[in-house]
Amino acid sequence: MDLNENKKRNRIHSSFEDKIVKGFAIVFISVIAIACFYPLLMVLSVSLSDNAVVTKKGFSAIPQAFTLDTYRYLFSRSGDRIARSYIVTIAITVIGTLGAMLVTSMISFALSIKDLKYRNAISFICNFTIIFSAGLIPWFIVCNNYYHLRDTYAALILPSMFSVWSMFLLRTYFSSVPISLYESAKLDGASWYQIWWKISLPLNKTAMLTVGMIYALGYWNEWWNSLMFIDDHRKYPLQYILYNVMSNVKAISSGKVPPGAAANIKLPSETMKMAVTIITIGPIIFLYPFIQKYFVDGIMTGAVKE
Amino acid sequence: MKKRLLALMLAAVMVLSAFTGCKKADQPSGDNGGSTTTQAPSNNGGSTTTQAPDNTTPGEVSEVIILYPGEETDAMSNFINNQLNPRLAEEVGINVKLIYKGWDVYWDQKAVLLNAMEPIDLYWDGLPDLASMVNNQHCQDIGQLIKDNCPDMLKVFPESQLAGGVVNGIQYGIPSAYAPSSCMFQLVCVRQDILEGVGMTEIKTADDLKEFAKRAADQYPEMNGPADIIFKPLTRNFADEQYTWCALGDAIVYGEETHKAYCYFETEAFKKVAKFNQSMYADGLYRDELTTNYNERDSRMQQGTYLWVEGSLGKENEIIASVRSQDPDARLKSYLLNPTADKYVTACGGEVLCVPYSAKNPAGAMKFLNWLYKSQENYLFCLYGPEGENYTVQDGRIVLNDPGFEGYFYEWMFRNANYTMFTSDVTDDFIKMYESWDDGAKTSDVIAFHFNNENVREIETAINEVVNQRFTPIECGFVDFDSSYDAAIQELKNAGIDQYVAEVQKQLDEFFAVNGHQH
Repeated sequence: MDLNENKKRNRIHSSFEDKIVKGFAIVFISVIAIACFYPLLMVLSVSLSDNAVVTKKGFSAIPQAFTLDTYRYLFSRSGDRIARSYIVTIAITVIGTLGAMLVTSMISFALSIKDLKYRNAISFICNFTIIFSAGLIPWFIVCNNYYHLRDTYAALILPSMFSVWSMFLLRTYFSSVPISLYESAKLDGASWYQIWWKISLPLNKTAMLTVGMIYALGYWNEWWNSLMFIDDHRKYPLQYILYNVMSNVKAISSGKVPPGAAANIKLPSETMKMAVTIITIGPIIFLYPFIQKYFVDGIMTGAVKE
Repeated sequence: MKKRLLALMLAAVMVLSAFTGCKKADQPSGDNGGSTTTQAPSNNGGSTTTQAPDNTTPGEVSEVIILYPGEETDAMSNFINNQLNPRLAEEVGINVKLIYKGWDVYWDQKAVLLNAMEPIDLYWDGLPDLASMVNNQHCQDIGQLIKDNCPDMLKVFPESQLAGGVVNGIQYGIPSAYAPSSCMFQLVCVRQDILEGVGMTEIKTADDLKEFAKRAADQYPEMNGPADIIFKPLTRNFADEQYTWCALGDAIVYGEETHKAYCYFETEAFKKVAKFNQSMYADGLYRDELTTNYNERDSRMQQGTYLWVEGSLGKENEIIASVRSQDPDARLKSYLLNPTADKYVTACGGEVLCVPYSAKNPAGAMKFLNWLYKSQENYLFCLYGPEGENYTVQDGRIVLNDPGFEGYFYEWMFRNANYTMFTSDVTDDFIKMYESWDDGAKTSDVIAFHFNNENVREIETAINEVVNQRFTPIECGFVDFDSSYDAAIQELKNAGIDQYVAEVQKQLDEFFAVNGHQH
């Protein structure tokens, strides 16, 4: 009996129903995948089309009168601004994520220790901010007048540095580490800082990556804090530039702009809107397939008990 | 016990934090430190007087912070930093700093900044919203400030223009766009090249428009038809007396001959407009987006594939560049439907400049405006930069070195008929028409009337809901008039429209008792 025959014999035979279900699943998932991919393809296609043709014939998945003019125009007119905003975005994403992970993991670790003094009170304060919010204007006054964040890079980082939701998520993972592990480390003379750094963090690497990813995506997509606090256009992150490009269009659609002004607002062309979208989402789209497995790993951790 | 104490302490900390945030409005904000003499608004929003602080000593340059809609461009930043501010510093001792907020968020951000008492010295908004801004205490009395600081500006703004910024007898804003404005938004801006292409020469009536749309649909199938349901121009066309919209958006009109307020949706003119638009839909001449995306009418027209949009004097010149970027042969022209009917000047322009209570340098803001309006040279400098750099003047016209140059400060925001200089692409015919546009026009009785909605806010919300849900589709002709109108009117009555109209009439009577009628 040769090897091939062995393999054939060991293979699980699918029934007709199994094949039907499998085929349906493949078709169903493919349709969803295409439905998700198609708009993205459309955006790319329009950004590479001639604007006059797009205006007359509408959108298409295949570029109409292929041209790179929109990208040329965009980079020749705002190339410096886009390049600078890339640097700002990358910097706030890296610094913000590292800082947020540091703060979040420390407080999560501390709250996972049941002996921590005032543990419930600290948890209550954190919880309280989820349920009750002071509102936009008090928050603005505190950040602006008391923390002096107006027009500083810190305004892009600090307000988003601590998420209670992420803290609770991480605390759940930290809590799953047996306390006896920490106790034995204490017996060996380790400080709490050493336990956090050398034991707890390595044991919860997947959870850290998951929460880190959430923070990183949040910082990459950051535009709200820029809108609230940043006046100097040299400090604009990438997403805020995209937001500004779309802002005129949304303003016209909303009907808020008085008729006299509305007729004078310059609108970006369709190709321009799509090109800006591609420029801003491009890097994260290419990066996403490489890091998304950590999301799955992170969410699945602890889901299966053996 | 410990837990209780801890809970009490936490509660105390929270209360203290809350009170810390509730500082007095007239205290300087944390990072400003300096003193301000601008007083906070009184609760009645009425008679607060503002001292005009001029904290600068001779030779010192003070900063004027302007909240400005739109996106900052490098060209504008360079102009302000390198050209405008040096001149302002030397001539009037100020520098301007613009805080840009994108159009979509401009109003929300304005509210946040003004409510947080940020030191904004000057901001723009639409003139029809002035009464709301006064109610929200977002603008202060600037009557004395203007008198003290704006002698040159007053030379180019007639008193009747400034009266548009008066609410409850107090000057709260400067209606900054002063230009011929009779029949504002009653014109229809059409694609003249297509009109001539289908064998027509001009538009005078609604029937002409319909004929134009029919011929264009046959001969120019690539065009998308009209961009707008133009209910205001059509109202002019169908109305027996001319109406001026005076309250609650598009819901309340004032009859210029009967001197009464009406619910627009109950007028015969509205019924005719709705039926005309319904016939346009029935004939396949309107696309659904005219109803579903009504607010995008201007952007549709700028796409170069639509036939007409609601116009105002000069709109054809304002949007022609955008239309030509899509269709290089495009020509636009504005027409007045029912041209023999009376023309009324209904508003002191559409724009207003205001000074909030939180302003630290209101006198500086006035000085900036006075400098801008001091001479045509200064005016053009703010719009286009120094002569010779971006433009030259030839035969009294501006010739832009780069036709795509968008200018610096918005022309429409600071437009002044005394200084307006047209660009070389504007036709002589248009200039002739522009200069004589208001000849023979009557001033509307309600030109300076600002309705105060304080007593009818709840009714207003209910009416707006009915208008948006029921009357907009009827007005656009999207739903059948005969089968839906009566039920919609009943809903409007239930929402309290009669009470609302009575309140408008009451305020109008009070207004006329003080100001009299204009005609």
